[in-house]
Amino acid sequence: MRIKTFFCLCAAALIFLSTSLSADMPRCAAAPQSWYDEFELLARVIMGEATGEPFLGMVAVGAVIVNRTRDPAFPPTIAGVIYDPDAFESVTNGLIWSTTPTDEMYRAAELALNGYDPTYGCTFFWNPYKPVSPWIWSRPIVTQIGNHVFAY
Amino acid sequence: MRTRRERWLLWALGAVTVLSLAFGLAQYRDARSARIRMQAAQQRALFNLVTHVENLEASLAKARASSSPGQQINFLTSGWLNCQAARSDLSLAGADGVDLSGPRRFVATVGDFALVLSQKLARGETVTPDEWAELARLEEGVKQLSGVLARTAQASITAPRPQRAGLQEMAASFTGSSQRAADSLNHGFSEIDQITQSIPTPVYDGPFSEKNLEAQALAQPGPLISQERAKEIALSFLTPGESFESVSVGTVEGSIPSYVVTAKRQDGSEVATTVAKQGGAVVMATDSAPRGAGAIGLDEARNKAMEFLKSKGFLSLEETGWRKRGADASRVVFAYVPHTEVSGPGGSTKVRLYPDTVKVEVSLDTGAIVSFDQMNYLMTHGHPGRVLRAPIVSPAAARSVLRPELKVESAEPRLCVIPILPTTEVMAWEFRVRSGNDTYLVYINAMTGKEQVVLQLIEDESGAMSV
Repeated sequence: MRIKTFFCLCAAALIFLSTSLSADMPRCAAAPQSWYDEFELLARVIMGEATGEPFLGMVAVGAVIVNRTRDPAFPPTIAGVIYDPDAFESVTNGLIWSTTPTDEMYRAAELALNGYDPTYGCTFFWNPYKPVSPWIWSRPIVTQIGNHVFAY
Repeated sequence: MRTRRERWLLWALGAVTVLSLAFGLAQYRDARSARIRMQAAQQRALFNLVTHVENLEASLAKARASSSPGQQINFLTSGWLNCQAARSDLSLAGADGVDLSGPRRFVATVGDFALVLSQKLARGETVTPDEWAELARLEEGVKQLSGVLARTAQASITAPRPQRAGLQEMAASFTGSSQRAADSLNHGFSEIDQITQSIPTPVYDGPFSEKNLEAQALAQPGPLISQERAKEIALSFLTPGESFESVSVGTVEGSIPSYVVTAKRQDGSEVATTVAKQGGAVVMATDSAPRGAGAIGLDEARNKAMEFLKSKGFLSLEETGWRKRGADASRVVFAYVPHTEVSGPGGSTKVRLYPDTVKVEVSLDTGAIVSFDQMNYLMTHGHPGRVLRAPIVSPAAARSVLRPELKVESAEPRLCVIPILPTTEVMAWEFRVRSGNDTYLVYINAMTGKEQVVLQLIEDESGAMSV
């Protein structure tokens, strides 16, 4: 009886500790697999950065990432741009692995990779209603789609 | 009985405390281990960066010292490879709060310039004294960068070690040593940024040259249109006659200043159409409505796309390829190019204009057009900078340039204009050839007779793709 109670208490303590910890950590509904190509990565960043945005805003976020690969100031590959340290909040906080992109997000990624660029070559985007580095406001803004502004 | 319960509670409390401590210690060790790995990766990238930039400096210096074009190509290509590696290192070696876009741009441009010179030499052309002087100037910048990087790498070693994380790091921070070391690292990167920003960009013709990065669209013909007119054009483009729940109009500046008309349906899907302010051409349009499984075949989809293009005034576009899209291949994208004719002594020849590609996406459930993109067409078609002359090299002469073991599939090569850089295009003879099981498109410059581009064609049931 004593031993049983002891283990119950221990188990309860462990469950409490582990759940309180995991609340702050991303849950991996789908861990990255080696076969994931750039298309999958792009769809996931679109999910992390543009959930709740209009479809065109999703395509625009994908287009910014594609545009960065052609800009000498950024890494030359989609994966390089996406995993550039601190480039995307959703990568830093693990949000891109929290769930699976919707069909709409996959289609947005397809269009962006196919060259569809509603931002006309922008390499930056941000939410103007959230606090951002003042430096970013020095970039020439080209358009606003949904809650994001897009700039060169 | 009460005493026993109290004893139990004390036991339980003790056990929870011990477990919590054990768990906390394990977490602390994990966190410390992660910090060590992260810092090690950052330092590895930083020291690799030093090595790659030093190798770059040496490669550029050797290229300038060598008198053999073959050796010069080797050194310049090696310089470009070191630049590519340094670009990757820069992504991982950065310091917090320091913008490294300047150093990245500098390194990429130096590599690009080195590659352009090596390609020139490979084509049998000579590098001009001005270009060598430009290379020497860039090499001087690389030398400065190399010196600061070496100092910064040393500073990173004196930065607080992860083993000292936790209480010891806190103690170190009280003495200020931790902060000083971190400051010196940040200072090094700031200095690198300043150096690279101060070096003027070389004037040349490569993918990262300013001329190509700032390519501008051709001014569109026609008068400025109003927002209301843009709305009318947009609503009658992809889904004419459909009524929407709401319609909003935004703008986009840049290459082709345009209105962006977004029409929303009740189900949340939208049709977004970009209409040029000058002239009112639809630059691009997309319909996000969810689509069902394919019910129509490829040929029917092809007819739908062609009918659509004709209804929009594109009367002489030629299909160049298609590719199915979507997890269930429920859509297909067709690419089209216009063509023109050039006249020469042997008569007129049809020329495909690849830079002016127009794309149309068709849904295979109903044959509806779900996206359209003529951005490239509007940027280049009819551009006054494009002067097409009759080819100097005959098809037979171009064919003789191909490797003899290649099996040429097309009876006659196709004359075409291909994009080399965003602002540079050349006229070439296109040969579709096979080598074993692989198919290639080989382009021979129609003016110089030199091989210009080789593309591998990957064809499967989803369509074709060139790499």
